[in-house]
Amino acid sequence: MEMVQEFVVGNQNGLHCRAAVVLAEAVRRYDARIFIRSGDSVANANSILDIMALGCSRGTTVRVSVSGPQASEALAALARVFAGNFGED
Amino acid sequence: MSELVKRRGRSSETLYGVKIFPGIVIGQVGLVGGRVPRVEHIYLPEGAAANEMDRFRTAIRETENQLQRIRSQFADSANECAAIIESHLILLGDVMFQERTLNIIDRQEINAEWALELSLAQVKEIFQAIEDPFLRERFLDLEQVAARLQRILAGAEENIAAVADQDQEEKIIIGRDLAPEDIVRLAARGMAGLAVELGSQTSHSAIVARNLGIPAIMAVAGLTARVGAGDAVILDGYQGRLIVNPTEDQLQQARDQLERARQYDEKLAVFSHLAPETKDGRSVVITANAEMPEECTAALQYGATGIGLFRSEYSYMISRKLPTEDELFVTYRNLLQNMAPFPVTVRTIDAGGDKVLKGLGAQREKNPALGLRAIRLALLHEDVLRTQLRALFRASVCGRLRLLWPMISSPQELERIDQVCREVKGDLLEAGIAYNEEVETGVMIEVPGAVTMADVMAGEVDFFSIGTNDLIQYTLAVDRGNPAVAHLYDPLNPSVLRMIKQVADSGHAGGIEVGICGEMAADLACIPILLGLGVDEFSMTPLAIPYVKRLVRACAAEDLEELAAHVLSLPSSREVQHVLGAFLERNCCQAVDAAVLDRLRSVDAMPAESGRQKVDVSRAMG
Repeated sequence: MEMVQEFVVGNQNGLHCRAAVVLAEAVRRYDARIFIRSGDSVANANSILDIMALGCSRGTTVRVSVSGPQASEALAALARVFAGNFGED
Repeated sequence: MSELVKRRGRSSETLYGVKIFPGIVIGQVGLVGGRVPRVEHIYLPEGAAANEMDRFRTAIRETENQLQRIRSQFADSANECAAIIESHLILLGDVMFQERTLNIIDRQEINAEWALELSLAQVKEIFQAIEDPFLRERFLDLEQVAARLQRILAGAEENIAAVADQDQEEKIIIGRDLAPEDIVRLAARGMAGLAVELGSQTSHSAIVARNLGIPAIMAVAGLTARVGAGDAVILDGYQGRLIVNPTEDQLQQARDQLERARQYDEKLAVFSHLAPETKDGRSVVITANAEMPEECTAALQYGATGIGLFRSEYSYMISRKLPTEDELFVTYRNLLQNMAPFPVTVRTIDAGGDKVLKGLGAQREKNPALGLRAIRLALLHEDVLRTQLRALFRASVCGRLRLLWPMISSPQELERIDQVCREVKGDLLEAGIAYNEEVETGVMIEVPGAVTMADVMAGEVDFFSIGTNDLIQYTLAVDRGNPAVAHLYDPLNPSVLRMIKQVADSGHAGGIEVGICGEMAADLACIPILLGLGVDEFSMTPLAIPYVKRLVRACAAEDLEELAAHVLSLPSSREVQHVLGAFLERNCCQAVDAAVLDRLRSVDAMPAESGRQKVDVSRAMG
């Protein structure tokens, strides 16, 4: 089953390297396939580069789709890092 | 004709870039670093792809080891340099990037170098579409990581070691682009200065160069095409320039600057951290002028207890587009945090006149000094001012912010700006954004009209700051840039001194402090009089601070007041200089440069009102 949720990038510098690392690390341990969509681009959440290449600055809304056995746990972890602004501001 | 002879015959040339870290280095270009070896394009023989993929994986491991070794030089993992190298390690380890390259090797059966080039080009295309310049710039990091991988694949990585093995001269490293890791390694091998063709104020390489204290400039257009290994150069990190094949005059000038800096180190360092207090116990505040948050380091190092004048125009000059509120917020937050717990006085955008900003599209005027500039221009483009004020108030919770309004010429303007401030704060309150209610505001006094109305305005603001450069121009009606009248520009003209007295008296009667932030604040000849007139704060270039502290500590407030009262009664600058020269010689000769005394003594030998040679320590120190 696929779960979809939208988040807003709230940290000052957007999804730059450090924030992308925090995001990727947060979901790495879950058995789930996670894609982040911003506009027409899609990123695999386990690639920092992919996430950075989305070019999400502060205020961008992203659509996250998660599937796999641990989809709900992964989604909860994602919600935490978005809510905490990737530990930045 | 050999290359060397050709170079020797070349005339001096100056290249300009962005200032990254201040300092002067006279030396020789030691190495053109950060070069990517020429990538060969080879189709693999059948069945060789698996081996080639292994070769790529090995290169990744080797690159990783190398980066780990460089990072391990920083024991503290919170160190900014360590964090940057860590981010490169993460990019190197990125699954997508590795897999993309391995896939290309596998499917197209080509060599690893070529595949790496292709996969980098693919990622580049994606990154170029990013609108946010900060995020787009991060591609530079990936390029640097890929360049390192290419060098390791080509077995060409260790050429960096060569830099230390050449002769005695100071080594200045130039390159098209240098990775942060290379800067760390080169610094450990004796790099004295750095000039880079790409890069920017905010690139990771710039942050590392600043952290390591290496005089550096970046974004130097045409650098690698015009400068080669072995060229004699002067790197000037104060002015942001590289002089190639300097003339004997240019070399002498640079040597003089270095010598003064050395003398400073020896004799003056001790004064940086002594209190600016007269012999009989009157304290003043000494602060620094700055343009960028990074300058706080120097300000603190030289003993400033605040930023007395932060010129906010820099953010508006670096790009064709106006800065966003968020970009400004980051700058102001860093500024306030870097300086905390000391106060920072930010002068709101002061454009027009001689400082024309692209984004504001200011018109060329017939008489810009008397035209649409500073607060007048800002109030006309109120949206730009509001954006700046929002960013400032948002940042105000990060430290001690003071706001300074430039070129106020009447109390009406002050009312208008207060209104704008109230509205901006109201908007923030409504949006639930925190700001500090205690932000002080002040008027920059630089127009005679503001001097005469100072008593009225003293009730409306928390401080005055006298901008002497403009005040002198407007008081004496002299354009400093016009050689026919420039000699009439004179800080010691009694009319200027009386203006300053009036501001000081009006401010003190209204219970507020009065500071000075023009060049006069660092002019050792003027300081005794300014102290005697009761000026409370002096803001100057950081390098001048120890000189000024030494002078303050050599004087007694009582004598200074007497001196000020005496010179105010004199009819001309000539007589002021005469009295001042005698005073300095009698009271604090040890604390004043011989050059200052010579200058004041020489007035007796000069015809009246002839050119007054300015000895400005800030200029002398570069």
